Amino acid sequence: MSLTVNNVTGGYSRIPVLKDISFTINDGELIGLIGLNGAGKSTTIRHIMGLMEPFAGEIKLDGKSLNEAPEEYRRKIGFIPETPLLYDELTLREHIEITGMAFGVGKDEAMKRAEPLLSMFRLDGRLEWFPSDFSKGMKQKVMIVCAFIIDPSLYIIDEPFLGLDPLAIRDLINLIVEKKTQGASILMSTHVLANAERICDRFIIIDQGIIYAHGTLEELRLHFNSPGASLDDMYTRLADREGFTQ
Amino acid sequence: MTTDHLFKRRRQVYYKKLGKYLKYVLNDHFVLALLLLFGALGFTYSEYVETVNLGAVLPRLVLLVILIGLLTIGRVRTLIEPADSVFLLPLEEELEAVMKGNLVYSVSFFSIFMMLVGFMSLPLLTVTLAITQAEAVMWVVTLVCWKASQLMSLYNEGKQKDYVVLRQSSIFLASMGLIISLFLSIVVGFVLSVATVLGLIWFSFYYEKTTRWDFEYLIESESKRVNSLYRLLNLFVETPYHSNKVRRFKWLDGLFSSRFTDASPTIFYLARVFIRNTSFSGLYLRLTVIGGIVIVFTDSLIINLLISILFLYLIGFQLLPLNQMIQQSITFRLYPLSNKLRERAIQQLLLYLLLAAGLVFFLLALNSGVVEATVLVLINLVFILGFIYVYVPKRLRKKA
Repeated sequence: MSLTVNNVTGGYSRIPVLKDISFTINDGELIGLIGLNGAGKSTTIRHIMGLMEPFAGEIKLDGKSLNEAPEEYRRKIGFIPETPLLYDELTLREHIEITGMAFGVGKDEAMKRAEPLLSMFRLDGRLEWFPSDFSKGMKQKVMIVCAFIIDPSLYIIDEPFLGLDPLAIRDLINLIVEKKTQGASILMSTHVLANAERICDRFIIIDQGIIYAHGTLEELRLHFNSPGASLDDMYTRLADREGFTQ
Repeated sequence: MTTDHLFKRRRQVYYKKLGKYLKYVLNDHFVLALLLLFGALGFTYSEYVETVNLGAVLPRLVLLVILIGLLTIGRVRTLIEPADSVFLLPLEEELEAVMKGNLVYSVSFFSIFMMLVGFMSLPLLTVTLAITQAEAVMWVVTLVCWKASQLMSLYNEGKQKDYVVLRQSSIFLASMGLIISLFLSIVVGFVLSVATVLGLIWFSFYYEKTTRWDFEYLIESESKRVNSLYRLLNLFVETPYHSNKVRRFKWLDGLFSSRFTDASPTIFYLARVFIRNTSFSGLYLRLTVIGGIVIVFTDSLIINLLISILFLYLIGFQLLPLNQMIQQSITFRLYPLSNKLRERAIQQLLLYLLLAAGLVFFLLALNSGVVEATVLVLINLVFILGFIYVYVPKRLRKKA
């Protein structure tokens, strides 16, 4: 039992973007959140992160909602947002330190945990750099490092592959799979369907704020009556047929 | 929609926004306090002028420094936005007319400002130089011309050519010109300033034909301008805050290794913002230095008290946007931290910074006597504690 999203309706200023969404993510499970631009993926993530308040329904992490235990809830989530969110005034090293402090890991332990990740992403020589010196991909890597050093039980990863170089994409996928086998739950939204197909256990296909279909790749193939099809094939065919628009 | 229309609309939005803020400013009781203060300063000034002798050098030196300072502040209002470097790139030629309009506007605006400054300085010049009426007029025009020359060189720096030299030499020329006016001859200084302006008008409007703009410079310059304006308005009303360029200051890293700055992520972050974001540390330093200088040179306890409290108040207010930095940060919202701790951290940081400034004022006030300095530091302390523990919590709870 990890994350449960129950009948959540929510959005911006009383106009619902999400309509009655429900799903669960179990321990050691990697879920792919798939949908067109504007389908409601990021809004779903914003609700789980507590950046938006649902109009109706509830979201619980290990049985507790954000309002019941705000600090405990936040401590359990590692977040990699779609657009890197970094502090202009802090160096890379200080980003790692402040993350460690905020999540109760401690500065030194955070640096220790970060070291292998930094060298994996070839950031180890850049500890004194400011975000303004980094390219988009490097900023994304910093977000990845900061999310992984707090060792959360739930990872929320929004479009992680954008701007990453091929080596980094490979390394990130390995990291995600490793955390999953260690028992973490992961929700990953992405447009890179080939990657999603390779590593996700289940998929949630979301369109215009409702869950259009969900299940494993096999279940989706059965559901849509397209045996042997790839996620990409199924999704584009489906999108054309159903006239998914936004 | 033409470029002309686009900027017309931007101007409307900009002035509407400023108007909205100004409404709050003009409503505030603080204006009354400020008027009283200006009244008091005006009175002190007029009393002072009566004691100055013909040919006195020091008052003119002080005036010179103030005037050079005033020449360097203020930029051309362009209303350029970051997206313009993409969308207006193909319309650079149309931008030319708009930018020239901006230049004319800013020159007119600052001319009025410089004329006021010029009139205010006339009593001092009358007693030190015994200037005639014609010279008085020339002096005011001289000030306007130097300001205009500054703005025109700033304007040319926005072109995609390296005109830094132009600005540097024009501030040098203006300083020389002012020295000539104040110490040698008003007439010669006047002729020099008019010649410079005419030269720059010829240069900007007839000689320099390039229509290629350095968008990165324009964007940065405009955002700095708007930021300093907002910062001023922030004395009265909550204004949006955008951070300035960040400097590393590695040699100051020692300041961060204390137990205090490692106490919470909020202080860890804000201490670095304060130092590295020069819009905070620079301003803090400037206000402390200016306040300190006035305190050193004044013997009157009342004036010293007024000045020290005014400057502590200004410093405190200018630091409040630190709170906005935290509130606007999504990352901070995601940290497992309670709001109470965050508030306490900001309060603590402000307290230490104000106490440090208060200490400087105390040490400088010792100049006018131990008793006076002690009274000053005690009253300052009451003010600081009131500001931090009564006012700041109220302000922090208001939504940004």
